[in-house]
Amino acid sequence: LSRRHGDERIRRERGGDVTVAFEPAEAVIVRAAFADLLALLDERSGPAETAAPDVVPGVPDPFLTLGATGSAQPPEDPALARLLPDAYQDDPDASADFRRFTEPDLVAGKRANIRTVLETLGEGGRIRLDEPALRAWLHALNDLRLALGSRLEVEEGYEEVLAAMEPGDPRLPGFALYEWLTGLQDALVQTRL
Amino acid sequence: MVDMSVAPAEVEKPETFSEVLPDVPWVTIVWNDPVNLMSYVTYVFQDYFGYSKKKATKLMLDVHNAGRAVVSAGTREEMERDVGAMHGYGLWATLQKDT
Repeated sequence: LSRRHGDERIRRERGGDVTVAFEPAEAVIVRAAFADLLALLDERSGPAETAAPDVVPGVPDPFLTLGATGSAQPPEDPALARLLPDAYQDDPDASADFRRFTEPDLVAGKRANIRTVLETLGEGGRIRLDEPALRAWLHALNDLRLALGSRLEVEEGYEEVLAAMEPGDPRLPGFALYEWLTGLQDALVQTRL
Repeated sequence: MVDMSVAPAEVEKPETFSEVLPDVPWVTIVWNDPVNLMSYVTYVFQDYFGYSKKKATKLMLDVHNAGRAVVSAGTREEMERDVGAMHGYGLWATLQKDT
């Protein structure tokens, strides 16, 4: 876990809403980042044909045709695997069952949070977030940081690695976005503590 | 620098005979990871479990310092619900029989 400090772009308004100021360029960057995250989640939103081997060869598992189950296998992409982790540490069968029956809803919830972010963000400016919208922002920002952190191979104490990077390091733009998102998320969380 | 993203492997495997005992308690464990914010994890524990700020902060620090913490206990079904909720928040959580 890491620790951050406050942010002046955020105001608590009367009535409990929170307003957040975004420069138009920031809004463009945030939209693009969340579009990438939606595309990543799309990899798990498809049909579940590969969910499990047929119990009777050639006869599809009838539960899979109900449309309510997803894949039984964890995602191969590390970023996706971090967003959709196994529920059991040492029990792949229990993890697979849990995943089949819960992952579609988990993915749908994450997608809904991102949609709320994109709708409330618009073109930027000072946007107003009520309680449900703020909750969606907190969750979606966390998912975005998890995916980005996985791509950047963020580890405990990564700040030292970042501080030692050469100016031309190809990872720097990604880390700049990551750091900016971290500051934004922390400032939003502080309004709930 | 320690990479806490790899979970320790010494967690004991549940024993098979207790599968049939309905009242064996299960626990939800939240694992440390290098991305989640201390503030956010505290917020999640308050928001979902309804824990006081003090208790939520203590659990967050347990996760941060020890690498993992038991955050709730109950039936297997209840713990599956809690783990699913933690995944919704983006926390890295698993359930297991209490040992």
